[in-house]
Amino acid sequence: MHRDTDDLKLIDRILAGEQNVYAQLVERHKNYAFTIAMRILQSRPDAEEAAQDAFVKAYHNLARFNREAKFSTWLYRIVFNTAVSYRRKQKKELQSIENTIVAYDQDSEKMLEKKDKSRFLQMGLAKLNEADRVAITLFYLKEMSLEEIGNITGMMPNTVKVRIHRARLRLAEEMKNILSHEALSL
Amino acid sequence: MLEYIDGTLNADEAAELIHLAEARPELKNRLRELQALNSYFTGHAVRQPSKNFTQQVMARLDQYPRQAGQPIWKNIMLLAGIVVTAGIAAWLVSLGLFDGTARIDLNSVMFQKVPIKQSLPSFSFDGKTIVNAIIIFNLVIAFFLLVRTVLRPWFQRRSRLHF
Repeated sequence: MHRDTDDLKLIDRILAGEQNVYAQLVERHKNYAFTIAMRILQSRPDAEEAAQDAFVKAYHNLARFNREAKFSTWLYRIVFNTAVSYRRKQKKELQSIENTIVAYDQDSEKMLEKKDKSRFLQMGLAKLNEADRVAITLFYLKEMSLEEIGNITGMMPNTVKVRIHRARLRLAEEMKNILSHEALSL
Repeated sequence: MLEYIDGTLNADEAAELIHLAEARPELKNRLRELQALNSYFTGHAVRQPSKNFTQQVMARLDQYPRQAGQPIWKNIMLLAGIVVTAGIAAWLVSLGLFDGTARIDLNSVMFQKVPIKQSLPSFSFDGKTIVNAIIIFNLVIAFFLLVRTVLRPWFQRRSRLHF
């Protein structure tokens, strides 16, 4: 609540002409924005590009933000739509799981346990569709209600609840399969 | 099980689930898998962009909007020109300017000085029909131009930003 009020105060200053204040809003929301874009595009450079584009769009349409919802929800909706647009323009297909393994193996031989878990999680997430990936990510961020997640992804709150539930179960199943495969290949 | 992990079960329901899981190894394993996923995801949900992310955003603020094609006002001018031209042509047709039939004799057009053994065909044109066809063709182009350059961008902007 306090953070939402701070956002609105910053927005008032930006609309009054203090362009450089927008950097504070970007700093505050860049991680979540990038995370959403990353879940959809699954490519770091593309996610950075899409997230930056979304922030620029949000800046130039700040006057249209009607304040009925939180600024973060409005912004993440723009990020979601921008990333989906980028996704549609992408010519290349999603990396297959095999390609993901090869890329990580080529990057480093000193894989820590933390990086292993991250790799397996990415592999599991790749099996979900983009809306489920974003919904499950926003759910685990624990800062948004089902209604807000629905507003960002364009789904009804009840649909969000069901999809998150199914996505968590599916992800657990995929992770189990991936870890079994990894264990057998050692 | 997910509700137990999320902490939304009451004490009795949670106790019943634990009891069931203790009695059935497959349930216990499943619960462990879901808890492991939950704990990892909770700690690693947020990703971080590059360190100069904010700097890059601020540098791009003045570059928006990117001109992907012609400015919209040029497209509207082109659209207006097509509509006006089509309107003038239709008015001239209504005045009867293109009534009547024209004939083109290929013999006189192509071989005026060279003697030929076999005469070539001649073609007659109904001017009114041809001009009407041109007017309709131009109106179809105008319609596509209206949709692609004016209506679609407008609706896309509205759907992205209206909340």
